[in-house]
Amino acid sequence: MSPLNQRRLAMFKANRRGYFSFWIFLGLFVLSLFGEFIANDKPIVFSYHGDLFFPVMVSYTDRELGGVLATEADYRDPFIRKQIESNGWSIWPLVPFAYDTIDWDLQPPYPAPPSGRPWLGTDGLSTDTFAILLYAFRLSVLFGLSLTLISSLIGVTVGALQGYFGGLTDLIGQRVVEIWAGLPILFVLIILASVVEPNFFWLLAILSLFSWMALVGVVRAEFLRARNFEFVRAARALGVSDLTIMRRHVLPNAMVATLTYLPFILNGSITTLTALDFLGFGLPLESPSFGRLLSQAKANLHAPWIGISVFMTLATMLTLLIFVGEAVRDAFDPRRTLKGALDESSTDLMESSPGV
Amino acid sequence: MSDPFVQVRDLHVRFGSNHAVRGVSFDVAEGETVAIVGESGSGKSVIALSILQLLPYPMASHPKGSVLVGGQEMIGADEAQLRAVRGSQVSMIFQEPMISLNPLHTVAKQIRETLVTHKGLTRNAARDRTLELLEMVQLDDAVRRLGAYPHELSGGQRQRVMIAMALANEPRLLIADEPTTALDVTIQARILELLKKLQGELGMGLLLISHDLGIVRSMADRVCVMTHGEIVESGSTGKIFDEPEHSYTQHLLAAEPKGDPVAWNPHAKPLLSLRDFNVNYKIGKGWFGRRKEFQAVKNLNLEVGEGQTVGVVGESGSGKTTLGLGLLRLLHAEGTITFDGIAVHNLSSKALTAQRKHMQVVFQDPFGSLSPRLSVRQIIEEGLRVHERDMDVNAREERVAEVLSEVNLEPDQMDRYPHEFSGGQRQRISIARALALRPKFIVLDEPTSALDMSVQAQIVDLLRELQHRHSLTYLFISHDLKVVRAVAHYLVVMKEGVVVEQGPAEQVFENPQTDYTKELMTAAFVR
Repeated sequence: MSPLNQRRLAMFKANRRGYFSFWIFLGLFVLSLFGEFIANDKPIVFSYHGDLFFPVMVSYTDRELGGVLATEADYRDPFIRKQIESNGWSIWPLVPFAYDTIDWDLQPPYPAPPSGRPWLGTDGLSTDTFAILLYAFRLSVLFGLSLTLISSLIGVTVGALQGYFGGLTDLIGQRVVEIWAGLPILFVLIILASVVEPNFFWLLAILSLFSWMALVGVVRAEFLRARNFEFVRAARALGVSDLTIMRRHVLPNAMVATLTYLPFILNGSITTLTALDFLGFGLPLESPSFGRLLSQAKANLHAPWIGISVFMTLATMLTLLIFVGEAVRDAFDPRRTLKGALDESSTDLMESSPGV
Repeated sequence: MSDPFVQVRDLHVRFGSNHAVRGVSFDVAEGETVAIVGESGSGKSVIALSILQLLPYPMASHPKGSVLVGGQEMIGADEAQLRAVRGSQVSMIFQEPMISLNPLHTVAKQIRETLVTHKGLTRNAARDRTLELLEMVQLDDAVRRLGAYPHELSGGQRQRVMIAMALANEPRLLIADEPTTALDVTIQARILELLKKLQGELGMGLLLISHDLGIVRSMADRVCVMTHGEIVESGSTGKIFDEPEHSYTQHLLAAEPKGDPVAWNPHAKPLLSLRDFNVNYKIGKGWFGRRKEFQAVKNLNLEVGEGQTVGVVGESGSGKTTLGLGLLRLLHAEGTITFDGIAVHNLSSKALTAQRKHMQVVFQDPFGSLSPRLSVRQIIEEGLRVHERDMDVNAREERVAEVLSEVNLEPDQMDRYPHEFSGGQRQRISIARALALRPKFIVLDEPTSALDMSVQAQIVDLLRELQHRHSLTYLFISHDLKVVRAVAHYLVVMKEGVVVEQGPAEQVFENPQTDYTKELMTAAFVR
């Protein structure tokens, strides 16, 4: 690792809030990636007639477990459960419900309040709120990260080309961006969402069409500024190609501005997805989503646990991401790095100043 | 005789752990000019600011010392007392006239502000007094300038407005912090003349902060020499300049770039020649109107021999930097450029890239010309990666180490980053970058202007030594005639894009032909 990156890492670690947020978020995200082992309507592993079965990974039919159906076994079915219990043993996940499991054992009315069984209660369909939150978290973060990656790649490229070459390129590019930004995004999204059957990748593509513009302005400004720097001139005098100059000399300068925006773009992507789901234009009905849970909360105002748990989850997630984003941004800021040394002297100052 | 107006006794200033000023004492009486000289970072501006208590407290602190202004202690005085002194008894003018004036207010309004605050004048009385002040500082066309905004004025005019503001309340002491550093030499001379005249008329004290020994010598009655926060020597101007006692003063006085250019064979074959060379900037185009252009360099003809140094001098805006960038084809230029028998102006961009190996450039700003995110090694080897593709990692490292030691830097510092070096060292890195490709010709664009005097001399020595060793050809662009005299064989004097005079350096320095050159020479040398 180059000394510069070492210093960045040290800067990142020095920001305690961001560093801890990073680990907390990473922990939550990794946990959610293994969501099937935490909240599921299948046992993690069971033994049946002395053989081991892993239903999370492999699908077993009802018939294999002594039933009559050729479809996948329903492990919540009392018959299947009895079959397994009497012929072996089983280990169940912490929460015995998946995001789409309907708990038939609960007594109506639904939504059921939080209790020992559904930790955070259920929604109006008697589905476990915790399970939905867990899966929705995973889906939202993956969606947000992909959208951020795609839109920053497009945005940085467009901004870089406009800023570096300037002139006519810039003029045409800016007008196109302005016209594109003038489209009523929500309506276009709604129309597109009613033309195609929206799934994860369709939504990603549609939202990418509009979310790349956030970065164009900042990156363009940084490139416009930096292309007249003397070290860029010096590189041109050395005969370095435009592409290399952009990548080696100008882009690092634009990175700070880009990184400043990234946490906001990421959070924006997650909120947009939630909003679309809330309005019913988002992911297909069977997928777990914050937005749909929120609309459940709206429909069941007498069941505040739904709204409160979605809100807490969203707020925690967005806050953690912002803290991480801030720390990353500060770590990449060269002035911050220099200031790190100054900060030490200013703490000396704080100690000495009361004497003044 | 009463006490001097300002008495500074054993003044200490600390910024956190940085002890910027350590025990400084001096007096300034009314009618007297005291100069504080020193290189950047010596703490001279801090002293000026602490007289008016304008330092960023509580970041800054005064562990010890006293500053008496008109018998009143300034350190620890409350805001009301300080305000009564600031701007009315003691005024200050700053280095940068561009940023010291508020760009949103007219000249009249800015001057009126001090008059109304301190003197309680009515609007009309204030207007008359403003006009009077502008006439006093010899701002031409003063009546019309009353309604002007700062951006409509030139640097010299702005500095005159600043002086008028400072004098508005007839202060008893004027602190001038590098009052002319940002100005061109000929304007510098006029502003200094004005300050001296006004001081005589108004009988005020003048505390002059400067790094420029020439200015100090012509202006000051007494001089304090500062280094590292301490006054190492003070005394009358004559004594300091003629019989300096402290070694630092001697070092400072000896630091002016001197010596002669490297010996050069006048019959050497020409390396670079420019014919009918023009550089135009497009400054906007209406939808239907004619293209508007600004001619930055007009019809220049120049021949540079192998191993020769051509000095290009002129004030800011004269087109000297444009000339340098244009002949390297970093800017679009018209006319013929012949370099080593090759018609550079016709080269395709690919052939031009190959040609760049032989023509290099060193820029003025040692902070701006090095990419802050690359290590010194990466900066220097960048050109090698383009032009010497068959060099392997070891050969490149060897070359980087070689050029670093040529510019007197330690090769084992190559993995450090630019901010870890001082201004002079950075400029050496810039030179090393240019040298790495073993060019024949280097454009030096104000290579010494951003550096302290003693460092300037070292860089000039280094450049001459390198020229001697590698028989390099230089185009040396500078506004500083003293530096140019130490390096150039041939001189080109430019004004507003036109060459007003060119000829062998000796001849131009000894016997300038045009009025403009004469004026430049007077401003730079006669003191």
